[in-house]
Amino acid sequence: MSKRNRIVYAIFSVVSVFLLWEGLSRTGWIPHEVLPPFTTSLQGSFELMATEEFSRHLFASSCRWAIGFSISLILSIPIGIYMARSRRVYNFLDPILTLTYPVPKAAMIPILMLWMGAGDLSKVTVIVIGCFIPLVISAYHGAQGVETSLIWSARAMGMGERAILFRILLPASLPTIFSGVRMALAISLIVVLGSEMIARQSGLGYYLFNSLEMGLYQTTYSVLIIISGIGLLLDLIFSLIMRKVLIWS
Amino acid sequence: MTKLVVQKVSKTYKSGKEGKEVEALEGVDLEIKEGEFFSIIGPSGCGKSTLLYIIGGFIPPSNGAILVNGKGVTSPGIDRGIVFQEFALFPWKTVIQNILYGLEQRKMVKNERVKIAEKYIEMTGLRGMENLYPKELSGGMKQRVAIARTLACDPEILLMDEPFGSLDAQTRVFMQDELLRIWDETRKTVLFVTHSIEEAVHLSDRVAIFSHRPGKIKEILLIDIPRPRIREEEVSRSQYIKLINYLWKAVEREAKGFF
Amino acid sequence: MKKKNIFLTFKKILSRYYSVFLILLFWEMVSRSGLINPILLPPVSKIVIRFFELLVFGKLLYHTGQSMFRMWIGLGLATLVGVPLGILMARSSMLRSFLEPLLGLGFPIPKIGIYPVLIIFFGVLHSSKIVLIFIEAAFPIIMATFNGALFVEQKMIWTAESMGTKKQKVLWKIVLPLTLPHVFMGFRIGLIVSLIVVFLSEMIASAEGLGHLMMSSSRVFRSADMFVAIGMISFLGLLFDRIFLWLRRRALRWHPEAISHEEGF
Repeated sequence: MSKRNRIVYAIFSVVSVFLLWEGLSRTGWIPHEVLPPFTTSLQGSFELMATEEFSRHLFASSCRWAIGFSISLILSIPIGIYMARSRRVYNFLDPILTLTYPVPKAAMIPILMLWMGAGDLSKVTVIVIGCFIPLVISAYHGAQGVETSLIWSARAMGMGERAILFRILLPASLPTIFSGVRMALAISLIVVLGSEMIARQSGLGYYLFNSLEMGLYQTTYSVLIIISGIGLLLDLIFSLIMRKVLIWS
Repeated sequence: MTKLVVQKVSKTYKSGKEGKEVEALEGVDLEIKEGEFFSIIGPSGCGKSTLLYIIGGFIPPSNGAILVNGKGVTSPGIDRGIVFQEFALFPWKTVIQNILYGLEQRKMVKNERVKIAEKYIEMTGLRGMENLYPKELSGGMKQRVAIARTLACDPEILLMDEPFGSLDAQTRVFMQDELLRIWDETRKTVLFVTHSIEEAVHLSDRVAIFSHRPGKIKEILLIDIPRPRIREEEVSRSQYIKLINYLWKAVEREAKGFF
Repeated sequence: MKKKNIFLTFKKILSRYYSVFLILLFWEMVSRSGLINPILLPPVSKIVIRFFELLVFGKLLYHTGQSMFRMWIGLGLATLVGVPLGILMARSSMLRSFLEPLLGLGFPIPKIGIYPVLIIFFGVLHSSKIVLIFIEAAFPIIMATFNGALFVEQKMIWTAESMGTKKQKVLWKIVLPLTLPHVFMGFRIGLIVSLIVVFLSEMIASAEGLGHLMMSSSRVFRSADMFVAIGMISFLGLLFDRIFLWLRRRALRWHPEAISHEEGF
């Protein structure tokens, strides 16, 4: 199927979903209060983004997310690569990772809130913890998968260990790392929203849930649209970056 | 008695991004008698497998018809069994379960099915391996299972698409003789596609030479070497040497003609 | 004889998980020493005691049951709907061209955002959570099944057809078993995801369940209880994963690239 066709079909599917939403609401099949029409919600989204109050919350969420995500990237990926290179480090960390793997990182939110208060620090920490495992695992697998023959021939050519790390290992493991980052991206968004919905202090998650509690259902849908849009936008940006960097893949 | 008739079959399909039309087959005519072992040889990509798949009913011809026992066929059926080069064994089933698969489509008591399956297990030399999974079998054994499975369905024609192509040279030679032995017991009509000229001559009653793309039958040769064909004795026959040489030149000509 | 075996296995566990034991030991000491406020970090021993107290006198089993009920219905539905859907998508290009973009777009959207909408529709009881779990788990299951079913060897299908199998039956008799390894992969992710989601949704808005237990304990600063809740859900996660791996090993005995040993990764 050609690329053009694919885009056409995609637009068709998405539009039909929106039409369904609009139709269900406008015909009264589902009452307006419960499901406002799509167009009304979309309009509300734009109006919201213009308000100062909403922008404040949006900014708060964005900062938390950005800081948390960056820290987890900087922390987890090197650890994962290190694990692949050093058997001892692997043996030390592997059982810890295997055991903490099934712990839903979301569960850490209240405990972290207990320790660090309900402010930004706890939320950033949760993001770091939440993204840690998928990033470490993908970095580990990425580095692991680099053919030893590649590294050996580099050594034979007189390349120092440091050079090998940056010029061979890192680039070769990038594809796997990138797919891990993509997954961590999705997780980080869930974690930010989730923690804000629990802490109920500020941010998009709070705003979303607050509108529910106050019965302002229209706002709920509008915020949902904005959140979905952000998720898609971030993923799109990431895919573009990935394609540019991995152009040789 | 004519078993299979191929009437002016041609096949064109669109390939590639630009939708270029590729003519794979051009007006193929063929008649195969009952109980005959018929081979098709030709250069790579000449469409011989395509013809086999059309006969099998897996892809439709653009033109022409296939008749089995005088009746037209347009879709796959139990009357035409197929054996592929890649074996296509069901990996989640054991040897005997694979063989029973075709039998399960037919109405009969379970005991009967097992008996038939065991008959073919015996015939193809698979005794003792009934409960193994395909992943535990060697190439030769896998192909035996494929053959047993297809024979158990009692087809009118056995279609074989380079069945020994993925076996090593020794196993291949061995399996050829095994196939002859099994064929001798059942005397099914066989349509055999292969790359190997020696294989075609050793096994068949008649051999068709396929032209390069678009494929059609250039020539049909009668292999008048008496059966049973014992390899050591066969290869020194002048008849054998003549046939091999002739076929080699013919195929070479076709392959060169394409370039 | 038996004594020696027990000793050996103990030794094995100890040597493999030595880092974990070290941390637990460190934890207990730090907590008991008063260096860190024991309310913030209760000693491991206290958590264990509290676990048993909640089990016998508290409603630990009740809450666990509620969470598990929601999770498994959501996950079960996601599998029952997702696997056939994935297979059908792979074989029907029409369905595929319609659903594939929706799945691709739905993937990066944080679906927890839909939770409030679900509460609008279904209230705060079981249904909203079950639906959320269903949506979250369905994505990986459908996508994994779809990807697996896409690459089923055409020749296998042809072989089955030449043995008399009708086109519709081919889907279930041939495509499904061949896709099973991928289905397992998707289910595993679904398992993890549904565990996270049930806990999260209960923490946000629920009157029962392990997530709720977590939140209610945090409000009265009963930190040991909080750890019990985490411990419980983690234990369940581990348990289900082990059971899953065991099931997969048995069901995929025939697979050439059988993943033989347990993996955390």
